[in-house]
Amino acid sequence: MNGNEHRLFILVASLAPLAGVAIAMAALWNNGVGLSDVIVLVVMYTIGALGVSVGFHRLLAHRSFKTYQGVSDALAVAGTIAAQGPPIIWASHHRRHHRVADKDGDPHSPYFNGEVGKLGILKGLWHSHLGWLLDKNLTSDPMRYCPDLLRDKHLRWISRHFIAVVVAGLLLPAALGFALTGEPAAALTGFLWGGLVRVFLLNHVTYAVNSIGHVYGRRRFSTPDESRNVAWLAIPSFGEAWHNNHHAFPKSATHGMRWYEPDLSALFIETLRRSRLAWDVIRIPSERQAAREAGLARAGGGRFAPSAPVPPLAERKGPDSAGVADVE
Amino acid sequence: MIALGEVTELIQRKLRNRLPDGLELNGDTRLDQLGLSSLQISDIVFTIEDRHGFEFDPARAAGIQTVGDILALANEMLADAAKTTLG
Repeated sequence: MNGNEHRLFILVASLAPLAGVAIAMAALWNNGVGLSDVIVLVVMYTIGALGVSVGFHRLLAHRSFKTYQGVSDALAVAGTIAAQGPPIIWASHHRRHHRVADKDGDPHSPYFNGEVGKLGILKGLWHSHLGWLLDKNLTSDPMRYCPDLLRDKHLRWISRHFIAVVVAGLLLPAALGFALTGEPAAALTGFLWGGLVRVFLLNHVTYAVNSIGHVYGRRRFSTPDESRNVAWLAIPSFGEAWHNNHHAFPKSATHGMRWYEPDLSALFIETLRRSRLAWDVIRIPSERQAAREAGLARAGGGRFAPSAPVPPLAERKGPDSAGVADVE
Repeated sequence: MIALGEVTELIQRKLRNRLPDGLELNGDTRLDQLGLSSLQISDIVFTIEDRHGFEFDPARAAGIQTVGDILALANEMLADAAKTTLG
């Protein structure tokens, strides 16, 4: 996919679900919504959300736990159906984001153009939400950021067949709707709710973590960026919205760090661990959290705070260069 | 030893034989002129790794700019791998 094709894909992947939502709203107004549609929407949303949060984000981009190849493949495919990009590219952008969060070179910082005032904030929110994906020259070189992921043949295959997997993810809810009711019409509404509406909802929730999650919300840790914990987004984002916690401890498999910070992805990873499908799950003891909180508070945070970013994975010397992303 | 033809064949396949106008595919061709995405280029590089059973030094693989760079680095890594095996 070159720059123009990429932009076209993002436009289609944003506008088609939007049109789907409009049709779904009209249908809802006129005929209500079938039980099978609700089931298909919840099931497909859960698959996509776990794929993006547990698969793309915590497993692939940050290596916060280890698992079998089969589980990794399944999570990568589940994340791919979200239509947010191939797993290797998603992880490349994300590792770059962490390296220089809210500073020059961050692919999706709301502070990208340094503008202030209400209009500046709005422009920043748009850029970090979806605007950055429409940049024809957007690129985060996977050879620099993700040599470890490129060595995984299965991930390369899934990334190469990105569009086909997205299409399969749109057809699956149609099949599911038909299987649940035996009616052809349910296949169509299944596609609408479990396909288009689901892509719309999940994408905007994920994108909101990048936009709202760097502007509005609480900061427990004075990280050298503008990351925020956004409580109201915690459930729909499956725990991704504890974004300030995440920037303080990027490798942690758990983003919700208190009992009152719900994190469905962490719960899923814990279930995998108890089923012996995941191991070496990275958790941060509360003493370390407190020490980091105090240390960062002393140093002072925010986007103007100095930081010493680790080089991209490919450029590291020593044991890290063997293919383990540590802080990313 | 890997020959230039193997690398260009992988590139041709990715391009579906549609080379950009006026571009000749040889050792000096810059990868960013091919109209391939970063994912496609890295896929080519790491496919060569798989085929020949060696591992690129990631820092040097990230510095690849031309078709000839891929070839030179791959052959260097292959030679190193052979030395290690013999030694």
